Amino acid sequence: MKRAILAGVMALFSFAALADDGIGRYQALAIPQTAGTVAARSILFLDTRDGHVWEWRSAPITDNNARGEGFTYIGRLIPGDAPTQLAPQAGIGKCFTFNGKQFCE
Amino acid sequence: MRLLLYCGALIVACLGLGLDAVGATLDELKGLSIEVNWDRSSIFGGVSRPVPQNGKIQIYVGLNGHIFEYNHLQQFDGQRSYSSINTPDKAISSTMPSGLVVMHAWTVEGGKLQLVAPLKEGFSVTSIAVDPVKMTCAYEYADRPDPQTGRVVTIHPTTGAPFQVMSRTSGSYTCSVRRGNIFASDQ
Repeated sequence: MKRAILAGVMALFSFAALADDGIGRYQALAIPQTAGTVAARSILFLDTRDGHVWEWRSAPITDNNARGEGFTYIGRLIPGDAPTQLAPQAGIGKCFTFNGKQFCE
Repeated sequence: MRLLLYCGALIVACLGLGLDAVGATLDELKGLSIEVNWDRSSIFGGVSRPVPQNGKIQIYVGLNGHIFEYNHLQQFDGQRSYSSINTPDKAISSTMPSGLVVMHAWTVEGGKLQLVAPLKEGFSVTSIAVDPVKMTCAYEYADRPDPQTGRVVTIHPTTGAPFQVMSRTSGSYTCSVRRGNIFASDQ
């Protein structure tokens, strides 16, 4: 089922890319695994027009054959002085409340 | 004889108080440095096996009450570190080289130094109980679920991808206290 959904999403990306400019609006970038680790496999999807980045991640197979995979929204890259500058994270405020006590910057 | 009994009772009372003195006020912590090295295992939703994590916290409580902190977290596929200077009960945001922002605040609660950090959902609470007389300390970490969702969702230390915390298993830790500034080069 998950693979079917993934295939559907990939197809949507492909059609969107075809309908956009020459390089395609959505680009996929496979993140190579480090040799000798059990790191999860992941592919980054970049929206070249608006800077949104998603990650498709597949966790290693375990003894019970359970596998965790899915898409996660990472954030938004913005033009800036430094390369790969991320836009401020959504939800980061100037204050937070814990145990009835407010902490502000 | 009565004087001896009185003195004896006084000594016993003082010793008793000393055993219970695990807490400290901020004033008692001024001029002290604390270092904690910890490890634990975390189970995240969508990740098929427990993730071993370890970290280091170094703090110096300045004579003017400022808290100087170095905080490092490492797991098999990523790490993050930050340094900050802050005053108690005040929030501060530290930006990682990756662009991720970690917000946190130090406070003194029940005689313990507490580091509170809002997660994507819920809070992480690091408590360090310092005995400034014996120069010992104890470390404790706990997640506090989001009151609305009942979940704890943290972010990957490098990518910022959200992961729901299903459970944590505390490992071992070392905690040490000493006088002076741990960050000073001449210490």
